[in-house]
Amino acid sequence: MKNEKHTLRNHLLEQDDVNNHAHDQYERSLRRMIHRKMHWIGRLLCGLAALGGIAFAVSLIFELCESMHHDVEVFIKVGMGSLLLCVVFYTILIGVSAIRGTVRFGSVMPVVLGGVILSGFFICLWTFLIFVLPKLYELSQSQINAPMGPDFWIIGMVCTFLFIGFFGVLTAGMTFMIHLQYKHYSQIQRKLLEIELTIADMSEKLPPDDDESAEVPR
Amino acid sequence: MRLNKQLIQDELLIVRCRQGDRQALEDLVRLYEKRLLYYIRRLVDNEQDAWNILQDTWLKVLRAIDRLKEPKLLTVWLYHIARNTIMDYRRGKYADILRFQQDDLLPDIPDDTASMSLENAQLVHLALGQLSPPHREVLTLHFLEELPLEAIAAIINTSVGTVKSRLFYARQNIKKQIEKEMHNEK
Repeated sequence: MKNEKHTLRNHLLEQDDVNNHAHDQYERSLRRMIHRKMHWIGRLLCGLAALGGIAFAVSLIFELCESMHHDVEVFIKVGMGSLLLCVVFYTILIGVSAIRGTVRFGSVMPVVLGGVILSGFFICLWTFLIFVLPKLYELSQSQINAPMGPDFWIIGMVCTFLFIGFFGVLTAGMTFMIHLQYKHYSQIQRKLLEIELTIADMSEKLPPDDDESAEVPR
Repeated sequence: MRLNKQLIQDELLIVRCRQGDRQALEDLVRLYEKRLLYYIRRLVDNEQDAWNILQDTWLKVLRAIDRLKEPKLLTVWLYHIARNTIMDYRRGKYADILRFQQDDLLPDIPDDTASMSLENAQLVHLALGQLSPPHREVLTLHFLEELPLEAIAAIINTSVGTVKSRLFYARQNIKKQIEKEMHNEK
């Protein structure tokens, strides 16, 4: 009965005449819809951000390799090392988006906004590690050599901390969201594997099936 | 068992679609587009409109695929979206035609149209065109997908009793139409 119905379905589907022009138009629109890529401006922005990220990462590597002859060198280097890891991770994410023209997690606007927040965070952290922290340390050792007075550097420290705090909270939120997305993604991957195993198991048990409509090409 | 396999394959397709697998999206489209087009064309006179509605249907499906929680409802969900798109497209015209009066509840009726129509797909196709849109709609869903009454009721937003009633009269009418066609051929 089931097969008869499917045969009737297949026969019925063959009854309609199709206007080739309308069909071609539909095919083109559908293809554009499925394989839609980011706008070229978005890709360009992502590409530029990725290039900026690469340049930043390279400069961080050089700074990590340079000796600072400083008592707080260890703190600065550890901070810069973590910063480098973050920069590499986000540069890869945004670089892949620029090359593939697709955004894996979320849509284009949140990604661009996220990129701006991350850039702010990285630049503030970098400024703090390179300029503010060493100078503050020097000031704490001797207040005589401060070229612009100690107040300037204390105000600078407070401002930088505020910026780091502001961008840091946003970045932490974004990182948490990316973590959730990855978690969701890995759950889907696991589910996919389970389904494929079940299908493979069923295919071994069942005789070959000639119903074309049920086949899903992989 | 066959049905289970289909369900699992549907689930696999949906999971792959949610992953952003474009090939899976294409597979989903290829698997259902002919059936959806046939259904839409039974409710829309103009072929160009039918293609546009099908395209809009896929747009809605691609946007909402993440929200489909039950893969076993994929078929019902697709037809439901297609129907809503038809309603949006021709709001007023088709909505009035498809909004049907509540029919009387009827007892279960044996399905004698399936075996009769099997050899006469062309006649069934022509006869479908002679039915009223509500009858054409339920019978098309019945012939294409062999959906249970509850599923058809969910697609067309009506009660199971109404679907049962429409199906009963639709079968009677199509049988008459086919007999008339066969008589004319002789």
